[in-house]
Order: sequence, then C-alpha cells, then structure tokens
Amino acid sequence: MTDVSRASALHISTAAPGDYIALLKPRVMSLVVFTALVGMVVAPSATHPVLMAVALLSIAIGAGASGALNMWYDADIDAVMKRTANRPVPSGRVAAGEALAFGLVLACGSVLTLALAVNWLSAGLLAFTIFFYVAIYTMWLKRRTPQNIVIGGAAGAFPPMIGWAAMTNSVSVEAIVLFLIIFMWTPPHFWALALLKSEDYARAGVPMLPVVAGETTTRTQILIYSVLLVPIAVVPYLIGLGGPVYGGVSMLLGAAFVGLALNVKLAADAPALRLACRRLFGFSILYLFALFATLLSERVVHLLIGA
Amino acid sequence: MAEDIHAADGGIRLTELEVRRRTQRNVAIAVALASLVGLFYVMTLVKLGAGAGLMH
Repeated sequence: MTDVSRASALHISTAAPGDYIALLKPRVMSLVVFTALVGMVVAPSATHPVLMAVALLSIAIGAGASGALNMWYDADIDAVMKRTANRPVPSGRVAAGEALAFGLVLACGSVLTLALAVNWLSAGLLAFTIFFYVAIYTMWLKRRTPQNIVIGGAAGAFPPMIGWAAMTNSVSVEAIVLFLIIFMWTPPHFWALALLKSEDYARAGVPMLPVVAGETTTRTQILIYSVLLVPIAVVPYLIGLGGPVYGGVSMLLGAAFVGLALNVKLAADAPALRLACRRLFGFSILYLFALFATLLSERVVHLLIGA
Repeated sequence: MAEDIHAADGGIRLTELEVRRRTQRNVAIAVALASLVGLFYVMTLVKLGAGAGLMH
C-alpha cells in the first residue's frame, strides 16, 4: 500500500499546501487579477493604494474560491479527463469535503473583505460572480447544454466590472463594455480548445459544442463569435476609454483574430484543423492580454503625464 | 499491515510523509492567519486615516 492510498483509506490527509493553491486555479486567477486590475486603473476615480491592493486580493481569492467549488463539484468528470485527472480532488490528495469547505470559507471571506475594504456593490458583484460560476455554470449548465460556456462565460467577464465598481461604487457603460469583450471572447477561445479535446469531453459526458453539434457547426460558431467580438473590442476606443494606441491595437489584433478563426473554419483536414485550433487558442490568450494591457498602459502613461 | 498502521496503544501511527504534510499545512494556516491579521490591521489604519482626514 502506498503512502497516499493508505492515508486515503484511513482518511488521513496527505495534501500539501500546494494542493490547496492548485484548487484556486492559479492560471485562471492570474487572468482575473489582471482584468480586474485594468478595471480598477481605467476607472475615473481611485481609492487608497492599500485598499486597491486589498480589493484586488479579494477579487483574486473570490475567483479562487469559485475554482475550488468547481473542482469539488466536478471531481467525477475531472477524473475521466486527461487534462484534469491529476487535480487535487480526483487524484485523492484533497478530500471532496475539504475542497468544499475551503471554497466556501474563501468565498465568504473574500466577499466580506471586499465589502469592508471598498464597497458593498463590488462585494455583491463578486458574490454574484461566485454564485454564477458555481451554481449556474458548474452545477446547471455545464452538463446540460452546449451553450454552457457561452452563458457561463459571464462569470469570467465580471472581474473588470468588479474592479470598476470597487473604485467608483457604480457600474457604467465602460464597465459593461469591458464585460462584453471577455464575454464575447470566451466562446471562440474555449471552442478552439474543445475542438482539440473533444474526445476528452465526450468521454466525460460534457455536452461541449463539438461533441453535441459536431465540428462543422463549432467552426462556424467560432467564426461568428470572432466577427462579433472584434467590433465590441474597438468600442473602448470609440467611447474614449482607450486612446488611439488602443484603437490601433484592437483593430490590428482583431483582424488577426478573425483571420485565425477563418483558418479554423476553412481547415481542409484533421491535422490542419488541429493546427488552426491550437493557433487560435494560443492567440486568443495573447489577444485578450494585449487589449487589456494596452488600456492599462495608456491609462498609466496618461496619469504619469498628467501628474 | 496492521503493525504499520497502528501504534502500540492501538492508535494510528502517522507515516513520515503524513507528519511532514501536516506540519506544512499547519505552517501554511499560521502564515495565512498572520497575514490576515496584518491585512486587517493595515486596512483599519488606512480607513481611520481617511476618516481623520475628513474631520479636518
């Protein structure tokens, strides 16, 4: 009997602190932190830097709590998918109940801390985001509809809006535009991955679009969402949230995004499709990062020159 | 197998790995709690500072 299987039979934890950090989905968390930071910095008002840092930490921990609760609920399907089989719960390093308790404590703690540090509006939005990701996406939509990530994508789109609300105590058009960019970006991003991993999703019984509707429909949907995304990504420039650099970057990268989505749509055979999907998936991460980084840089430069 | 698992008094004897991991978790919890204390302390100072500023 190995140390881990013996401990698991006796209900003795062999979890290392790193396993609990893995429950927080640090890679997702880093994108949440970044987009929330941009929401905060581009907002017209600001608060004390320490409170900004606490707000950002709360948003990060709230996102992490969603990840832990997602891993608690999805342990059965994570166990049969190669990409997720080694996560702390399906691998047996962390008990499901521990992941649940960990997620709940962090969710409550992060929401209350955000409320105490800045305001109740942003705390309410954070609480809603956690609820949306765990109850609406993970528990309800994910296993029932191929539109799971379209609607569920809202959860990933809220952080810049929370960041904005943390600074302004309001939700304005600018915050909604930032939300919409991530919301429209999510389907092509995830479907490119789903096309690559459709066997995994099929084995786990998750009705991702390629599994339910097939490759052709998914490729068309990727292109449609990409074409819709690009003009929305230019809106910050049109409403003055971003400057000319942002305008140029969003148009240039948007054209590249649509080009790569078109490659996915037109790929002639399986190897070409895999390559096109891999390229679109990789580029989509760079695209979102570049858009928000440009907004951030422009604002920082503006503040420095203004000061 | 029972000799490996149970100590002489009938309790469960933890392996070296289990003890090490438990210690690591305890340290992590201590660090997290201490950080939270520090966080709320600094947050309170900043909030009180802002409040004091408003009074002048």
